[in-house]
Amino acid sequence: MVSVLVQPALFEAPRLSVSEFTRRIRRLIEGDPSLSNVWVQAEISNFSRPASGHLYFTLKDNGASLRCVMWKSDVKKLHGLELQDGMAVEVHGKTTVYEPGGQYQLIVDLIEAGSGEGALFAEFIRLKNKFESEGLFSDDRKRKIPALPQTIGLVTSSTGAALQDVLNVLKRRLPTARVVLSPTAVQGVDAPVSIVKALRLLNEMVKPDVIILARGGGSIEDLWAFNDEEVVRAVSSSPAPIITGVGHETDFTLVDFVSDLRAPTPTAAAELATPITVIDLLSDIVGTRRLLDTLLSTKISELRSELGSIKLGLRYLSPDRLLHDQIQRIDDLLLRSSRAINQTIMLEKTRLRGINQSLGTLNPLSILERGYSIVSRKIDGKIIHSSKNILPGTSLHVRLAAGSLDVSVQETYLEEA
Amino acid sequence: MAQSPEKVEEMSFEAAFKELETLVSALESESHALDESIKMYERAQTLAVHCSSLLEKAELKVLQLGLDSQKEIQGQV
Repeated sequence: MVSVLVQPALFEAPRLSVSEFTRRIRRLIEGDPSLSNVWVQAEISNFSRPASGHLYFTLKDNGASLRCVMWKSDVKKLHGLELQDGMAVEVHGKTTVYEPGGQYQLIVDLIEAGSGEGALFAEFIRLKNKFESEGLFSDDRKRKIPALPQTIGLVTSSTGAALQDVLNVLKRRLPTARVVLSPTAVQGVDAPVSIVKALRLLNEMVKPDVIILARGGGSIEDLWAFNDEEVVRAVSSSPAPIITGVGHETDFTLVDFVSDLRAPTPTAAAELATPITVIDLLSDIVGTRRLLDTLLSTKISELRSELGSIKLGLRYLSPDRLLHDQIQRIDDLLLRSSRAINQTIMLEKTRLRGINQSLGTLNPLSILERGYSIVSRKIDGKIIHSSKNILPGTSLHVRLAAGSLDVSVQETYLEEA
Repeated sequence: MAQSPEKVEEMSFEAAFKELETLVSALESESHALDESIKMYERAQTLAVHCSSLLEKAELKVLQLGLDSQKEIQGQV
């Protein structure tokens, strides 16, 4: 540096305000053509997209980090590329200094994924393609999650927040369930082996109806065990269906693709494992009891109306009814016969009356009514027709219409006196 | 209907609930003699009451798998 060789007295140390200082830095950095039109390769972290629509993130590699901004007006140039933490990218932009923050940053105008993928991301893609070509992600492999699990297996760290989140949800939604925790490391070199073993133990010893594989949020490195080939294969071949809830909503790991159901978080996984809650069950039981009542009373009223119609049919077949018929027939006959008899009687009566009348005219006694009398000899009852041969003093009996007389003959005459 | 009816008080929630569902659909779809229907109805009602009471007093049971045995970790909940 030439200036060092010049006499110090001529170059007093400058006294600058912060603003002036920062402005000089800015001129220095922004004046460097190699920094104002540059490509940088790295992995995205701390990605955020506030309401303003500008994108903020940090590019990171093993040795350093670089703050980046992409203005909203350039975001459309992403062509739908979904940025997320851990993603390996190549970005293009120019370096500026943000004076209020005293920070330099890269103003990004282009982002490309692909050619410059970070090691982890490249590995992720490689494994994903491999499993996909093996058909491990196929929808036909997805098993149904049971609606009402009796035993829920839980594979997670026994000390993580995810465990409490999951237990709280299960306790609230389905306290009838039995939960069996198969504890495991969820990050670090030992995690993959530990997860595989925890799954195997659970399936062998407990045979749960469903398994929740969960871990709280973290960086792509933290979640890496869930991209491990052995872990993916263990999840894929688990006899019990598995719900994964790994990291946050934006985190995707390979176990998510291979599990039977992917939940965005551990809490959501616990919810998906209990599609029917205790509240549902209670109200279901109330409804069932009501249905039972209806079924039984319907049955009874059906039987009752069946009985009614049978009774009605029975009345037509009843001997009572036959008896009534017979009685009616008898009554009918009686009526007819009494009518016939009456007629006969009437006829007979009329005939009798005629006979009586003729009888009356023939009856010798009826002559007495007209003042005649019958005289007979007392001694032998012989009716006297003539005074001849009758001597005075003979006792005679005289029969009158009413009563009779015994008389003696005083005198006899041959002619009418 | 179950061939040998279990005592309702001793049944697990899932078993009772399953039998309840079976009884209801049998009552709905099949025709039974009245006394059998009433028996089924009474058992179903008993099962329903049992299920409700199990639900109301249920507490999540949490076990932890150890290397060779299961031990309770109720305190965690």
